[in-house]
Parts: sequence; C-alpha cells; structure tokens
Amino acid sequence: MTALIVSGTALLLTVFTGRVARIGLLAVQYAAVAWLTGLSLPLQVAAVKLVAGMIACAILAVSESKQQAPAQPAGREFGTTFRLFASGLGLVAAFGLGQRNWFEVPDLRQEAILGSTVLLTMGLLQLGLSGSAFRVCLGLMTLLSGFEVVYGLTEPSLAVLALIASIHIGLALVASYLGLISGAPEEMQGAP
Amino acid sequence: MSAPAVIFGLTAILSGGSLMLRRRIWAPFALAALGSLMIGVFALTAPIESPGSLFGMSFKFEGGWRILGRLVALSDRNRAPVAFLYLTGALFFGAGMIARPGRSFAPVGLITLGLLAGSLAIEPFLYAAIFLELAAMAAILVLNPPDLKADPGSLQLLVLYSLAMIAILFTGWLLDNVGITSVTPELASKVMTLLALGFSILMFVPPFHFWLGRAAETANPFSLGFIAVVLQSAGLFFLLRFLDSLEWLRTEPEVFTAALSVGLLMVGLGSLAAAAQASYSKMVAYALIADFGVTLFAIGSNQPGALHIVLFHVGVRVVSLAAWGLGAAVMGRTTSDGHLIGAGRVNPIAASASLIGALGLAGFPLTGGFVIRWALLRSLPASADAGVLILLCSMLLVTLAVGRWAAQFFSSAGERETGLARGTNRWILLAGILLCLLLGGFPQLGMPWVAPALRGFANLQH
Repeated sequence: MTALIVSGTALLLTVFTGRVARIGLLAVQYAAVAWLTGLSLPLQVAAVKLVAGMIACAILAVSESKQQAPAQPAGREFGTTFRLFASGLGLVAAFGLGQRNWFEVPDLRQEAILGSTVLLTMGLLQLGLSGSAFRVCLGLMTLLSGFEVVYGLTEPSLAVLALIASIHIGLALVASYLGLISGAPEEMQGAP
Repeated sequence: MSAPAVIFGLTAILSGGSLMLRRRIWAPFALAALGSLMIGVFALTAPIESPGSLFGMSFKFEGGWRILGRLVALSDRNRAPVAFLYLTGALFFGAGMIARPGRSFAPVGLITLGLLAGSLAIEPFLYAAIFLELAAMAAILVLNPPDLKADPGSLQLLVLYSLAMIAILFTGWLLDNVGITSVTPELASKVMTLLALGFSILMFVPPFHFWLGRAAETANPFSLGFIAVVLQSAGLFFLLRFLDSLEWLRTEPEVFTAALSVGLLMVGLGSLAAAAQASYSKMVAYALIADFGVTLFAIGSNQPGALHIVLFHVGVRVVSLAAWGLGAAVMGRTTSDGHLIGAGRVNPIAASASLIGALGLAGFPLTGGFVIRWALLRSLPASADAGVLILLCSMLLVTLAVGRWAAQFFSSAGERETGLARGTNRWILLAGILLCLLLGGFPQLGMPWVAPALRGFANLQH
C-alpha cells in the first residue's frame, strides 16, 4: 500500500507543473518514505526523516510565497503527455525491478524494496526531464529518499542520519535561493 | 580541548563574522583571509595529543571530537590536507579583495572549506561523500551571488555530486558488510564499478566534467577557480586515502592502469577542447580538466616519487588558478568588451597575471605547472610513447590557446585606456605573477607542504 502511495506521489511530482501542488505531494511522499523506513528501523529514526522532510517542504513553501513572479514554463520543459508517458514506463520498469532484492541488502522488506526502486527511478526521471532549479531539487529529494529507505537499514548511525537529513534541508534551501535570485525559477535551465 | 572542535568552531565564527560584514568592500575578505590563514597554520603545526605551552600557559589539544557517536579526527593522516584547504582559502579570500567575487564569497566560502575539512576528518572516512555533497550545495551559493546572473552549471554540479555520494556510500556498505578482498573478484568488480563512477565525478573525468564548462559561461572566474580547485583537491585527497587504506585496492594493477588511461583521456580531451574555445573562461576550464588529468596520469604511472610530484602540483595549481582568476576578474571588470579585445592594454598587469596563471595550467616552462610534466616525461619508461606524445601535444595545444588570447588581449584594435591597476591591486597582481614564476623556478619552495602531506599516505609511497 505504501509503495503505491509513493508511486502515485512520484508520478504526480513528475507530471504536475503547479509548484504549490508539488510541494504538497512532496510532503505526502516524505510521510510515505518515513513509513517505509519505519518497517525496518525504530520509529524515532523514521520520525527524523519525516521531520527533516517537513522542514524542507516548509522552506519551499515559504520561498514560494515570497516569489513575486509567476512560474513560467521553461523553454526546454517536456510536455505533460510526454512526462506522463515516460513516468508510466519508468513505473513499469521500477515495479519489474523491485520484485526482487536487487540491492542485496539483507532483512529488507519487499514493500521497502519496491518503494525504494520506484523513488530511485522516478527521481532519476525527474532529473532527466527538467532543467528548472525547483524541479531538479525535487528530483534529487526523490532520488535521495529512495536511497535512504535502503541505506538507513545498513547504516543506522544517528550522525549519518542527521547528515543525510541535512542534505534534504540543504536542497530545499538551494532551490529556494536559486528561485529567489532568478525571479522566475522555472526559466533556469540546468539539469544534465 | 579538541583540535577539530577548534577548527570547526573558528570556521563557524569567522563565517558569521564575514556575513555580518558582507556590505563592506574589504573587511569580510580580510577577516576570512586572516582567519583561514590562522586555521591553516593551526592545523599544520598544533601539537596534537602532546602538551604545549604559549605565553606561560600550558594546554593540550586532543585529536578526536565525537559528535552523535561519530569521530571527527585531526591526525598526521589528514592535518596537511586540512591545512592545505584553509591556506588555499586564505589565498583566495585575500585576493578576493580586488577580484570582488560577490558578497557571499567569503562567508559561504568558509563554510565550504569547513565542510571539505569535515570530509577529510570524519571517521569512517567513507562518510566524506556526505560532506562533499554538502560542500557542493555551499558551492552553489558561491557561484551564484545575489548580485550576479544565476549559473546553470552549478546545478549540474549538485546533481553529479549527489550521484557520487550515493555510489560511494553504497560502496562503503559493501566494503563494511560483505567483506571485499582480492579473493572475491565478483564483488570486488561491483565495488570498483561504483567507485569508478563516484570518483570519476569527484575528479571531473569526462563526461562528468561538463558542469565546469557550463559554469565558466556565466560564473565569476575567480569564484569558479576557487570552487573547482577546493572541490577537486578534496576529492583527490579522498581518493588517495581510499587507496592508502584499502590494501586489496592499491595492490590491484588494474586500478592504476585505469587511472593512467583516464588521466591521458582527460589530458587529450581537455587540451583539444581548450584549443577550440571561443571564450577565455571556458578555455581555461578545459585547460584545467587537462591539468587534473596530468595528476591522475601521475598517480596511475605508479612511479617512485609520483606522490611527491602530485602533491606538489596540487599546491601549484592553486597558485596558477588564483592568478588566472584574479587577473580575469579584474580584466572583466575594467573592460567593456566581452571578448576582452585590447583588455591587456587597459590593464597590462591583470592580463599578465591571468595569462601566466593560464600558462601554469598549460605546463609552460618556467611556471609551476611545468615541474610535474617534466618529472613525468623523465620518469616514464620508453614503452610509454603514447603517454609522452599526448602530454607534449597537450602542453603545446594549451600554450597556443593561451598565446591566441594573449594576442587578443594586447591587440591594438581594442580599448586603449591604461592605468586602471593601481595601488594595492597592482601589488597583489604582481605577487600572483611572482609566486607562479617562483614555484616554476624553485620547486623546492613547495616542499614544506609536500613533506607533511606525504605522512598521511604512508602506504602509497614507494
């Protein structure tokens, strides 16, 4: 069930263009990621991920409210139909790959493997499909969330957990900063 | 008192101080430069785990600092690289007074240095990847000051460093939990593939170098030089520490062969691309790729004494890049022509500093960059004809490209005004030129940095 929620949010994050909606979807995605983490790790660890994710979403929301210029569609952005089609293909591939423990990490639940694979795939897809700073940072957050679901089990150290959580907050700050200095962040082309 | 706590505490205080002074022209740079110099000297010379005294007061610095169950340590293994980063910072912050790279340069530059120093000091050292990722985030703020146009290349840097972090952290898990040795070839091959991806990004190996060329289009050349050199140097120290710590890795001949081949590829592609560029900053960005390639080539050659010249060259590169970036930033500010035609006639000292810095990256004789190339050409076996040829062609190509720009700078078709480099500006630019030439003429001047740095990589020395 959680893997389905993650798939839905990741799909909509790739397809939607409205930034407020995407911040909301990202918050839901962080909640689902915390749940997936909680399947294998103590609740406190999952809560750290949830709190860091919510702080990141709050930063994005505050900077969104401060930006005067409306979001402009970027020249090299792909169309909604194409993104929907690509996301569908990505999800099919992720569901196929996520049927077995391809990470080779022991004690990993099937739901976590599937959720992590979906997040990694959709994160990479978001990075490939967009050049705007906001979208690239969202793609990185999705990608890192997928990685963390698995890595959290292999490395439960509090220091590492805090450092990785700070990366999410840092990404939100970078997206906000670039958005604020460029006025219309969607115009910034930068993804590889 | 813990030495790492002193270093990171001072970095935070200095960063906060320079942030408060950011509206002043000189003060934040002067504070950051002096502070970095102080931290660099402290990291290099402070007595660790042994009592010392100053003005009659006795003290003792501990080498370790525990945070949330993890150790941050300063020891002979890493104190020279940590000092190197802060001394690089001192040079760039000091020169930043006339380069004017933006208000965020000094405070965020200090944070970047702190994070990179953290990457060298964290135990287990694999977590360095997380600090490098955080440093890449800080680099975005340095490359995109609020008063300049946003630079898309920095976003590409962030994406690449995130991928590198994931690859290296996962490698760490494999190494710790699955137990890779030379007798587990299948797993070793998986680890090496992930490591190759991670370090290719950190070493700016093509095709993961593209952000540098893109950033060169819009970023301030001085900021770009600073970010490129500190990030790549930290990545290089990380790579050397990897090789030094893992016996199965450093005894694998394929690792050195790969470094040699990749180094040559970087030298060849970088110099060809440099020769083809129509933008001065992009030309130097690609010359820098070629220069990074020379370092990898030297490591891969695995010759006796290779580590000496690599570490010396890392220091030389900082001076060359600072001189280039400083001259280019001053020229860019004092010339209305975007192609810099006649810029050398407007500001001959800035143009000379920039060109001599670029020649250092090309490996032109009498500059610091020549030393490593000369040492390599002399020590390579007769069978390495292709390597010798590529190295010589690269030196020639980049030198010709610099020469083309020199002709453009001093062309009579451009601006004719002169005398804009005055007072302190002139002396700082002249000091940059002198330093480049001194390191070329007297390489032994770099030895005070090389000797302690070598102690950190005892297993890699022949």
